[in-house]
Amino acid sequence: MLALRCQLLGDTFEGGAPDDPGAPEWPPSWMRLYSALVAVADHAVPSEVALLEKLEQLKPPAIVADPPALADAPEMAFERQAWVPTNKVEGKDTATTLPGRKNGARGWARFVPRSRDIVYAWDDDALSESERAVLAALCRRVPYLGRSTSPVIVEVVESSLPEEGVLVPSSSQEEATADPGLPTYPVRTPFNGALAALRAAHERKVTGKAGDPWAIGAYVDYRPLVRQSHVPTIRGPYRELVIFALEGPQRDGRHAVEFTDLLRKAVMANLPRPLPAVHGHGPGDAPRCAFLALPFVGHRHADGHIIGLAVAVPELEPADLRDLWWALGATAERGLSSPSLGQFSLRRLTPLEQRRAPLALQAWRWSRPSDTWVTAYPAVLDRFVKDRTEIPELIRQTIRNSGFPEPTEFQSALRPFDGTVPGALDLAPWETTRPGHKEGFRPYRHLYLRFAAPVEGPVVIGSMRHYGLGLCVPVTSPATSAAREVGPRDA
Amino acid sequence: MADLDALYERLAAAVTLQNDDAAIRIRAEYEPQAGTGAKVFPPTYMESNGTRYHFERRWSPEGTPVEVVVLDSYQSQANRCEAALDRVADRLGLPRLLMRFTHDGVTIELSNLAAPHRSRDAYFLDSVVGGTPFLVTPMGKELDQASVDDLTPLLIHVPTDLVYGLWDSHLKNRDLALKLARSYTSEMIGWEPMRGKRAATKGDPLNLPGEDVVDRKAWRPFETETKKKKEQTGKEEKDKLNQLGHGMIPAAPNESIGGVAVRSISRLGVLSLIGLAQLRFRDEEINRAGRTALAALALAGDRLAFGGAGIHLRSGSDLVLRSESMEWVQRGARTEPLELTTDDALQLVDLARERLAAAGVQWSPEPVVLSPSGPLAEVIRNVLTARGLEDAEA
Repeated sequence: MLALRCQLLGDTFEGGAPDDPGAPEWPPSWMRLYSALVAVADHAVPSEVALLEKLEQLKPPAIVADPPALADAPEMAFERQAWVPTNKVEGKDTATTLPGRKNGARGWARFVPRSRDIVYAWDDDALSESERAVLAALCRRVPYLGRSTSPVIVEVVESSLPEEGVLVPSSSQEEATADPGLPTYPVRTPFNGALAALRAAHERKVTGKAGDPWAIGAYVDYRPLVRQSHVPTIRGPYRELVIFALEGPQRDGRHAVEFTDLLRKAVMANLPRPLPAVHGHGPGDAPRCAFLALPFVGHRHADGHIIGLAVAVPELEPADLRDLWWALGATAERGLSSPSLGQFSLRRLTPLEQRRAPLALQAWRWSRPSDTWVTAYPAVLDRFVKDRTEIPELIRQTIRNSGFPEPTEFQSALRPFDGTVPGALDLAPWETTRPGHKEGFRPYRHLYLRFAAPVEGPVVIGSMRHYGLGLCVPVTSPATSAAREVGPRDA
Repeated sequence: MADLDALYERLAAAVTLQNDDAAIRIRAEYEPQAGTGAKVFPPTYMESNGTRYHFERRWSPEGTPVEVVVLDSYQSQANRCEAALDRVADRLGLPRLLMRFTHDGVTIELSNLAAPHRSRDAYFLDSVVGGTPFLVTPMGKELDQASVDDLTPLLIHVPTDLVYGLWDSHLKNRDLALKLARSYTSEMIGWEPMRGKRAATKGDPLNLPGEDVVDRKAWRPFETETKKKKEQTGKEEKDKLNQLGHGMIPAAPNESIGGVAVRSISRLGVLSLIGLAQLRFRDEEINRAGRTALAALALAGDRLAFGGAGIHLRSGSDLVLRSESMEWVQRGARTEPLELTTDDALQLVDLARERLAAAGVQWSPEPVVLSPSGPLAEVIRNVLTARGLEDAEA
């Protein structure tokens, strides 16, 4: 097996994605490393050029990184800031130490990985001994990956793929079963002619023309490698998540229940016959859809505004499912409007659009298996309490009633946990009930949940889960230090 | 006392890719002078999400993401090293550019170790040497024509620029702007910050009526009005007393710049020897001696800036060093301890300078003194006299 290991010498990786420079490219693509090899190669040495030409022909490698993809830990992506002198001698806004100079704020995409090692591995040994030696010499010269603030050591290593944290090209014939529910991530790779393209872009820059060597690369879909021996996941009550982009005036997450109530009523109106899974009047244990307002959360700049709407669909009879699909299609076509919210159109994204869409519009964001989930909206508990000491047991009961196993660990807080899911909504009591509903305000809590095994999402907890409250996001790792109970407002 | 010859040879082997040493890493722990948990003040940026500080997250040793705040950025730490080298430039015989300007008996000096864009800063590009525009002097031409294929002119005249990076982005009519990556990176962060508030109220011992409007000229007859003020008002200048510095100025508690209390403070510095190995000079002998001299300068800069008992980052952020370690970082994920005092580092530069001279590059200890050109001098003069740039342009 041929493998290249990049060891980050610092805690962070800095390098923006070509299609979105404000977001880090994590994991660093094979094209990025290939470009670094091209940059340090001596193009007058035939063996080095021949090697580069051979590398561009290799099939895309497996990539080992932790976490495997940016989408798995969006909360670890940041924009590093600095003041940069603009070098303009202008204006009256004089600096105290540098007469007449001005500074401008600049930002660079930065990612904080859990592991400092990134490995690119090919399962066949495509290079001869002499080619390996040339590659090893080239690797020794690579000083950094991305920006110079991400110094690295690059080495040719013998490596086998670990059990977890591996991304493979979607076309890969690994031992894994290709689960169609798995997400795919576009990753830049070299292609036949990549070396020539990089040289041409460099030449354009040398001659003072616009060149963008950093944007070169062919996108290949990667997916997580899931081995047969992988820990079994716990299935939640929902089988599918139907997502709509919400187009219209931007609305903050405080309007979540208004939106989901509106969506539910619109779907009901478009159904050819009443469906208990939508209207909810049926036996207590009958499967019910959850109508969700998908907020922008989990990023440093997240503000909780609603990006999309979704319907989490449980296991239904085929006839019921057919009617529901029809009603959802009709609802999307007609859009939503209400006197209080305004007019909105709903749009199903094509697979291509979905790849480029905000994270909140990607089903994987809400459904990827995780043993740790944190609420984006508070969960409304299943009954009233006389005494706050009853709340921990009531939370356990509420989780079970919502169709999920009892967590091995949980913490609750009236307000979002500091820093765990930025943008999580801090709702007031009157924002946790349906419009016009006057049954009083049940207690609600933000929850931090750890389960014994990864749970498949979407995870929605509480008596208002059918209206989207209690919607959780999977997080990468425990953040118990951030979880703390704050004084109750509903006591 | 380190064996400087052995250290020199090891560095020389590393920067010519002849051994497994890829980098030198420095880790240090600090605490506020007032003790752990006392407030410190991070650098401020544009306000975002109610804060002017840069918060992000790191992985704790237990594998938990915890909040951190940047206490000193890469750029700032590099600037601290440069400032430290600037202070001992004479002792080190360090070549540099120096723009010098005298006005009313006050002399301002700006070296490439202090200028934002280093030797390619507009201050130098818009200066003259003995009446000749710097860029058309032999040295100016050499620096202007240096390329990644031969950086010898920068090694001769402004070697520190090669350590901390350079982007020659301001001259038109050229093929490719010279862009050199930094080889030294260092950053300081505070772990698990608790955000504070700042309420900076200005008190007045006699409680004068700060809101009263007065004739500024009557209060400050010695002040000269700026041209702009005259144009704006066309009449006597009126001010509130509190604008003249009297009266109370209460302030609401400000959370965006309220300082932080942190659990611990750490610095991580990396000198990439592979990065230095990418710099190419006139011949192989200079490659070896030049890159090693740059490594020595980088180590000296780090030791001078951070090798003391503590550091003053900015007002409200005086830190004491608790512990520090240096290590060689080698291929194969191996490390080896390195001990280097500030004196060792300075003597290493001496040794490297001698070996560089033997290889054919003689550093001139005398700075090259430049003077701002006529228009630039005029602008600086006006800024210094606080008359504003519009006066200069009139």
